[in-house]
Amino acid sequence: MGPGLRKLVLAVHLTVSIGWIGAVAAYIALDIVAASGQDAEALRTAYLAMERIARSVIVPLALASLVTGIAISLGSRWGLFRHYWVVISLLLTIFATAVLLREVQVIASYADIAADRSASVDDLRALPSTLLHSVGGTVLLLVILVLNIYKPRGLTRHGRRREAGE
Amino acid sequence: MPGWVKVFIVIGIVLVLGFVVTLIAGVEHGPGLHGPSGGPADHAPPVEHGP
Repeated sequence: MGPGLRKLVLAVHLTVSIGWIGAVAAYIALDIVAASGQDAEALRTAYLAMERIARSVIVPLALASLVTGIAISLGSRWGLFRHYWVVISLLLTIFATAVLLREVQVIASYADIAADRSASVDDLRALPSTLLHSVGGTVLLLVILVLNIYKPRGLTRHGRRREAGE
Repeated sequence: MPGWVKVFIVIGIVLVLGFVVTLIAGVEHGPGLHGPSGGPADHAPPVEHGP
């Protein structure tokens, strides 16, 4: 990958990755309303907005972050499997995306219930909170961010073989 | 293998196990199976019984 293309991919990767964290922060604000709201309309609005943000913003950003992260690793001197911090970042991103895709199904079912005008405020308040997953996901993304900034030392077996061969 | 990697591996195993347990539990107790008590099923028109 040439330097120009690498910078472009890196710029996209940083934008979508930070955007992912920002979108989750907005989602958490709604999640707090959903977890603590007493008013039926507020709960309805929160669940419908959470579903829209998750499906239309967070999922595309997560997938874009995963794809551009793999591309930038393969196109740079770091490689994808040479350094532990890259491998762990990749695995954590895959895990966060898998949990996210599962959560989208859950919140979509909540939004369906919220859209049903016959559902009462008690029905909406009885829905299990997704706040723990939202906060846990944010912590995971921040850990990935720290790993990518500090790049702690440690070569994998594959990385050591590559270095010995070069 | 550096110590920090071992810590991440342990935390990772716990997280993955937790996710798998959630998935398995979700199959049996997913929100889709827990409609609201005031949901459409509870508001179905009464069945007209014949004589």
